[in-house]
Amino acid sequence: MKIPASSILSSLRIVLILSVYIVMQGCSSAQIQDATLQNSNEEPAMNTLESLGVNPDTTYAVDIYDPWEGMNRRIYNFNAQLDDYLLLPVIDGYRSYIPLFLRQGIHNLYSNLTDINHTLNAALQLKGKTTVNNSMRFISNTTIGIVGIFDVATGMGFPKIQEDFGQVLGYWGVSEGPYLVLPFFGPSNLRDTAGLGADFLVADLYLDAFGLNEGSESWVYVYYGLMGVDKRATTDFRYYDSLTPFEYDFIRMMYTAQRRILVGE
Amino acid sequence: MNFIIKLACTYFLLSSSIIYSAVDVADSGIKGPGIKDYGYPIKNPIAATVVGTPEALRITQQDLLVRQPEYVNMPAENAQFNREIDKEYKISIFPKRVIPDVFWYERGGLNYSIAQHKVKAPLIFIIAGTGASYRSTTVKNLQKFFYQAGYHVVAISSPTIPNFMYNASSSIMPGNLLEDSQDIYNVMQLIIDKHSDLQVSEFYLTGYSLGASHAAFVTYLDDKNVNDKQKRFRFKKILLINPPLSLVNSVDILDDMFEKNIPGGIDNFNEFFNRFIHKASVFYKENEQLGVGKEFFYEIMKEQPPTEAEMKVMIGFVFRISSTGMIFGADVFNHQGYIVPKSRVKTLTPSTSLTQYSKVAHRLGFNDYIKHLYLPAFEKKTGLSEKKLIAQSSLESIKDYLRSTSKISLMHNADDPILLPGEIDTLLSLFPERTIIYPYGGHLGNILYQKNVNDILDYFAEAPLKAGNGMAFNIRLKGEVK
Repeated sequence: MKIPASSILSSLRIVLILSVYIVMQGCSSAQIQDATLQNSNEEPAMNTLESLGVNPDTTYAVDIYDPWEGMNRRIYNFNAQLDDYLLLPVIDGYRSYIPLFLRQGIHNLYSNLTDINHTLNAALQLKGKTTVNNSMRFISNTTIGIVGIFDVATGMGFPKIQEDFGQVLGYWGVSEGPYLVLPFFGPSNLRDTAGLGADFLVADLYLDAFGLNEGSESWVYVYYGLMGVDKRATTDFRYYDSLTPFEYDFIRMMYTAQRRILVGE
Repeated sequence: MNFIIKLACTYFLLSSSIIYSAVDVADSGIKGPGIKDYGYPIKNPIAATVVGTPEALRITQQDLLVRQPEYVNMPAENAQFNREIDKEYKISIFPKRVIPDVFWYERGGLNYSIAQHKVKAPLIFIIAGTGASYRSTTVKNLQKFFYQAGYHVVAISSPTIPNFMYNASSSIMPGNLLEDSQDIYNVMQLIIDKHSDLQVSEFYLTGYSLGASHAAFVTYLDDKNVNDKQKRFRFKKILLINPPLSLVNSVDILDDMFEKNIPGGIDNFNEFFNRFIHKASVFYKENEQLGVGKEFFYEIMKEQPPTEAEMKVMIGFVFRISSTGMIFGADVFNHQGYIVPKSRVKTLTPSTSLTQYSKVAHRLGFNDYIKHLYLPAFEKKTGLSEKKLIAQSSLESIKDYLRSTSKISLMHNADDPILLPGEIDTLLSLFPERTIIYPYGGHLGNILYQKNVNDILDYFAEAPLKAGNGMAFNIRLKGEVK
């Protein structure tokens, strides 16, 4: 029987189309929220960029186009709390009660399936070597690695190379658009959010093809739930652990920098 | 995500065995017993500070097996699924203190961690360096080594980070070694009281960088604590790893690293940063099979090693991230209108944009913090002159105590770039016959190097250090190392 995953994904599809449309419209004119805009009767701070004699033409690495900053900061904080109250306790239990070999196997299974995305996305960016590498990974792990439980490919000289659909969009000239913080997923931008949606759609297709989308609704929750747990358990990140009160700005700058490296901007 | 956070530092930090292929590995002309035997490979102190110890030369769990008592249960090493040996806790020290909304995530207490054995064992406290938390990489590594060697290990953050400032600092204005150490001392007492299930045979203490200075003052306080109002630890041994002699001097050096090495000055940081992004991007395109992981940075460092000036910017940048936190944190709490207009402080919410303040804060150095926030506040509070307060920021302010206290030893590098010329000699004179000094290593670059870790553990395990006992390079290195 067909399960609701597809209906979730079809709404994602709408988001995807809308997002791409908005990105295509171009969001180039950066307008930065200025938290220190002075009221005329307000005593200014002792130090401002003006008082420090900073050249007004100076550009800042920390300035990233972020028109929805207020919302993004709220979602960022929501994610931090989600982490504290839900995800971290869950992965704590996951680590304590699920033995290592099982966790490793689960991780490999998901990783193997996403290699389908990584292959397709490499091909769409005309990256020949990576496409070959990633398809060899999928083939060897699926066969020798027993449907992906074991990662034999890395040892065979086919390392994991992630290629997401956001990169594909970037490769074909879609600009990054405004910065976005997604609930649960974290830092993104409009283009990469569209890419994420596309990757989920592709996943929906191959899960259908493998018959993994068949079954009860609870199966879908288990599938995606466990995927999230695995993802969180293998990601060494803590909110508000970067030791700077400007963590939001720092992450925004670093996320954008990393994506620019990957996309080649 | 981890990757993202570390990216900036990583370009310069992650890669191992890279820079030293690109920097001067030649004999730097130091002569002396043992120098030739010291195999730490990076002879350029700036590169050493940035690169650290190449993976292959780091101490491993296997190396430490000989030190592992029977009661220690070490989880197997596995990079991806490493089981933690420590547990994290929170402790509330000023429960009535109101933490501003913009620092909402610091509510709930001071974070710390303990790696605890089930049996009676010696306990060691580790105090982190400037801007570092109880779970920074260096602390975590030391914690692992000591735990494997049989110690309970309590890891404590530096008083310079917001979590400590808001939850455990009495002044929320770090910078005074004595007062900050008193705060740490209180925290240590409270932790021991709270964890009554810890079975401790004796107490030890260590710290690195500024944390080493704190360790010296904590010991001082413990020894001065004669009326025994609080429980004394009576530390058996203390090791100070790469402390600054004078906080103020070292701060100036680090400020300059950031400000004086960007071509065209600090106004051009964005260009500097974008050049790096561009360089990485081009490299990524040309080497698509690398992906972006450790391997990528390893290769780019090898193919296009950063210049010494670029590395200095990175050291300074990491340091500046800490000082911006101190400036913003102290300003918001103390309402001084230093970078946040006084009338605005109350309007800051968890979702207020702080970008503009971040820009201003990054323009100010640690030195500005000391001069314009810390010193005025403490002059008012203590009635001491600026000169006197600056003098208090040096280990020399307790030199008589340090000289006569044989349980405190020093481990340092002759080429540590956070010291002014000559300061290493002053440090050596404070710990006569009680120093391990290495010819190379920069600032903490060699702390994970096999020999260093063995020396640290030997020191705590064996008799006090003596010159020429084979494990120390107890030699004077006046002007011999660049």
